Order: sequence, then C-alpha cells, then structure tokens
Amino acid sequence: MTDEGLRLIAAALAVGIGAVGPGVGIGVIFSGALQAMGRNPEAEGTLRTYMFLGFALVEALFIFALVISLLIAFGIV
Amino acid sequence: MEKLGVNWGLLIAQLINVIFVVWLLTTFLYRPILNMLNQRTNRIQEGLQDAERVREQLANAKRDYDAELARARQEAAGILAQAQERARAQAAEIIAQAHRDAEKIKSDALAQAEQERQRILGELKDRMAELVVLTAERVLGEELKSNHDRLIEESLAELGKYN
Amino acid sequence: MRNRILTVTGILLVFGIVLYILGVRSTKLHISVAAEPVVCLGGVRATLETCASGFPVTNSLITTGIVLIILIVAILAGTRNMQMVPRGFQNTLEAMVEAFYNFAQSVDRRNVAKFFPFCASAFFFILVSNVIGLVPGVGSIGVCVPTAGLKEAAIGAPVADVTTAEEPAGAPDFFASWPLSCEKGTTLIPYLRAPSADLNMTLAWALVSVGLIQYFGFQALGLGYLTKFFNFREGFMAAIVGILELISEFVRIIAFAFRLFGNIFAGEVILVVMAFLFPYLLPAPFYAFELFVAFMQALIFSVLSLVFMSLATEAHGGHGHESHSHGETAAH
Repeated sequence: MTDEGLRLIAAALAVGIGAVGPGVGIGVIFSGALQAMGRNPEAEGTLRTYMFLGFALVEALFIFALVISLLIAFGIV
Repeated sequence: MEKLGVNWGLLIAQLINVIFVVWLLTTFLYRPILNMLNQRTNRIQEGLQDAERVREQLANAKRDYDAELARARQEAAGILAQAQERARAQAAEIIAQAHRDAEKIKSDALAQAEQERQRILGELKDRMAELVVLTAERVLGEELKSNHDRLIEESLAELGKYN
Repeated sequence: MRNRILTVTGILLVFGIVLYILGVRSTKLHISVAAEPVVCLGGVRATLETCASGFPVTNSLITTGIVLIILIVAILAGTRNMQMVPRGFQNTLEAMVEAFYNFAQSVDRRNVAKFFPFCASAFFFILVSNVIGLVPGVGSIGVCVPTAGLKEAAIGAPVADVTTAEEPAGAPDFFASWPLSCEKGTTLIPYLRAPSADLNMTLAWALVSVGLIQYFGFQALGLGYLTKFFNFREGFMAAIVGILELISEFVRIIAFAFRLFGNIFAGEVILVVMAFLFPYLLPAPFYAFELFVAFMQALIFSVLSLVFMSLATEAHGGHGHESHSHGETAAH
C-alpha cells in the first residue's frame, strides 16, 4: 500500500466515521423537536430556534470531520 | 487552503459581492416590498375599520328605523283605538238619541190618542145622553120627564164604566 | 396516469441501455474541489486551479456575476411599478419576502428589522447560487486547457482526472470526434460553476455573517458582550466555558463555509458520478434531491445566522433576561 492509498483511506475514514455520530445526533434532535412541536404547537417558534441551534452544534462536528478529511485528501497536513 | 481553492483576491472579490448583494436586496427589494406590505396592511385595516363603521351605522339606522316603526305602529294603534272608542260612543249616543226620539214620538202619539179618545168619549157621552133622552122622551112621554132624571144619570155612569 | 409514467420510464430506460451499450456516454470524469480560473487576468496559468500571476477569473466568479444579474432582473421585474393589488411576479416576490419576514419575526420579534436584510439576502443569493449549479450546461460547457505545459500538482491529485480503468484503450471517448470536444492532452474547464461550490464564496458569506453576529452582540450589550468569552469572575468552569465559546465563534466561520460548500459540492459530485455511471434516468432522482438540498442549505445558512444573531444580542448569564426574552418568543 502506497502513502497515497493510505491517505485516501484516511480521508474516507475521517469523513465516514465522522458522519456516524452527527447523523444519529441530528436524527435525535429533529425527532425530539418534532415530538415537542406535536405536543405543544404554541411553542413552535422557540422550539424551531433551539432546534436549529442544536442542529448547528451537531453539524459542526461533521464539518470538522469533513474539513479534516479534505485536508488529508489534498495533502495539506 | 490554496489547494481548496481559497485565494485572497477571490475572497475579497466575494466579500465585496456579499456586501453588494445585501445592499442591493435591501435597497431595491426589501424596502419597497416591506413598505408596500405596510401600506397594504394599513389600507386593509382602514378598510376593515370603515366596514365596521358602516356596519355600526347601518345597525344604528336599523335600530332607529325599528324604533320609529314601532312608535308609528303604536301611535296608529292608539289612533285606531281612539277612533273605535269614539265611534262606539257616537253609535251609542245615536242609538240613545233614537231611543229617546222613538220614546218621545211614542209617548206623544199615546198622549194624542188618549186625548182623542177622551174627546171622542166626551162627544159620545153627550150624543148618547141626547139619544137616550130622545128615545126615552119618545117612549115614555111627558110624565117620565121629571121622575127619571136620576135613572138616566145612572145609566150614563154605567156607560162610562164600560169604557 | 400511472401506466403512462411506467410506460415512458420503461421506454426511456430501454433506450438508455441501448445507447449505453452503443457507447454514447462520457468516459471522462473531471472533479475539482477548487474553482478553476477560466482566464488569468494579466497573468499566466500555473495549474488547472491556480494562476501563477494575475487575477484568476474563476468559473464561480463568472457565475456569481450571472447570479447577480438574475437577482437584478428579478428585482426590476418585480418592483418596477409596484401596485397596491399585486399581480404576477410582484406577487411571487412579495410572497417570498413576506414569508421569510414572518419566519424571521417568529425567531426574534424585537430585532427583526436589524437581522432581516442580511439573512434574507443570504437566503435569496445562496438559493439562486445553489440552483444555478443544477442548470444543464453549468459545469459541462467550457474551454479546453492543455495540461501538458502546466506544473504538476505538488502533492496528491487535486484534479481527479480519471479515465475509467475498466475502459480498455480500444474504446475511446464516444464524443472525442465531435466538434467542440476537448482533444487528447487537454482538460475541460467549465465556464460556469455553482458559486456555492466554491470555498471563496461560502467563506465570504460566513465571514460577513459571523462578523455581523459579533457586531450585533456589541451593539446590543456594549463591552459586556466580551464577558461572554472572558468570564474569570465566576470560577474556573465559567472561564473554560467562556474560552470554549470564543473558540466556537471561530468554528462557526468554518462550519458556515464548509457546510454550504460541502453540501453543494458533494451534490455536484454525486450528479457527475451518477451521470458517469449510467447517464440515462439514473441522475433524475438525485436532481430532485439536490433541488431540495439547494433550498435547505440556503434556509439553514440564513436561519442559523438569524438564530446566532438573536442569541448574541441576548444578555447571557442573567437568567431573568433570558427567561424574559424566551417568554417573548413564546408569546406569539
């Protein structure tokens, strides 16, 4: 296995494994928000705000993975 | 970052572009549209208020009209009742008058009849007395003349009783 | 109706398979993370993605200009003579702006007038930028640049210029002999490329967005806004949390930029790969999905900006303040 191949595998693993946790997290956030909205439709405005906030925080983790993956794939680090 | 295509010149160009887009959309899209929306909101509010006012006026007019109508109806009923009352009174008056007149006529007629009868009776009595005297004179002659005056009186009284 | 859909789909599929077997398909896969310069203004090209000197007029930059023109034309068409009773395109524009305004109002009623211009601009510009990448011809019409004279990329292969392995040398590109197709030894650089698939554009929006978040924070709370980051009075944990907040502000720039870039670029890659694998019918559902992603990413960028701005203007720590403003949000 060449260095090039190892780097590509590392990049793929970085983004692949990095997507698992945030994927579950985003699912949990949206399911929770939808349930809450269903139970209490009056609070939808507040809930939506916090839903997107949570989404952003979780999504940021995946963005880290993506950035690291891109950095690895293009040989910047 | 160079490998990912980030380039200072392009970045600055895009930053300028961002500012331009925000300025462009704010000045030429949001401001006119939000103004227009506000205007429309005001217009609709005005329209609704006008409609409300007109509705109120209409309700007022209807109420006035109803009240007027009820009053007129009441008045008419009052007038009618009065007229009826008056007519009834008049009728009673007329009937009473008629009764009185009839009574008067009747009593006059009775009185007249009585008077006539009395007169006729008086005449009859006189004539009877003459006839009786005449008859008696013829039947009895001179001698009875003085003795039977009392008898004649009696028979006349008898006659008067039979009337 | 259902029968007709099935019939048309089946005929197209059979037709596509026949064309595929006959070799009417692309055998070149060209993917580039960076936006390639179409011309280097006053300079020479170094690699496919970079200019050795001069200003690189990239395909994304050209498309940004086209997006601007589209926006200007839309604005002119929609607001040239505005009527009290809206009709046609004015109605559409008003409905969009009003819908977004109401949404922004439901997030933060107090500061909606301050936040709305940037967030709505981000939404409309990014939406058009995302959707323009799905227009046929964007990314496939371009200029052929010879690769021979260029410097090789130092490390790795930023240009994934793949000729499929299973394709034997005896089966050349079907379109090679067609007019306007690139000769051997040259690479197609498209004239147009979705602006959102260029890190410069997403990074610029992210920088402005995060900059505005800080600006609104300072505007609302004065220097007290800094105590959110440098909070040494309430113990060790509060200090750590403050530092983490500071780091997360910088992470936001990266997150904003890479979320948009990653999603749109990944979408384009998926479309290209699907068209490469089997160009008939297979990409159609992905086009539909990418249209949805284009809308969602525009919405997410603007809504996140809105939420972060709204949070930055809220006094932190003071729970009374916070519950007050929450009550306000919940009130409507």
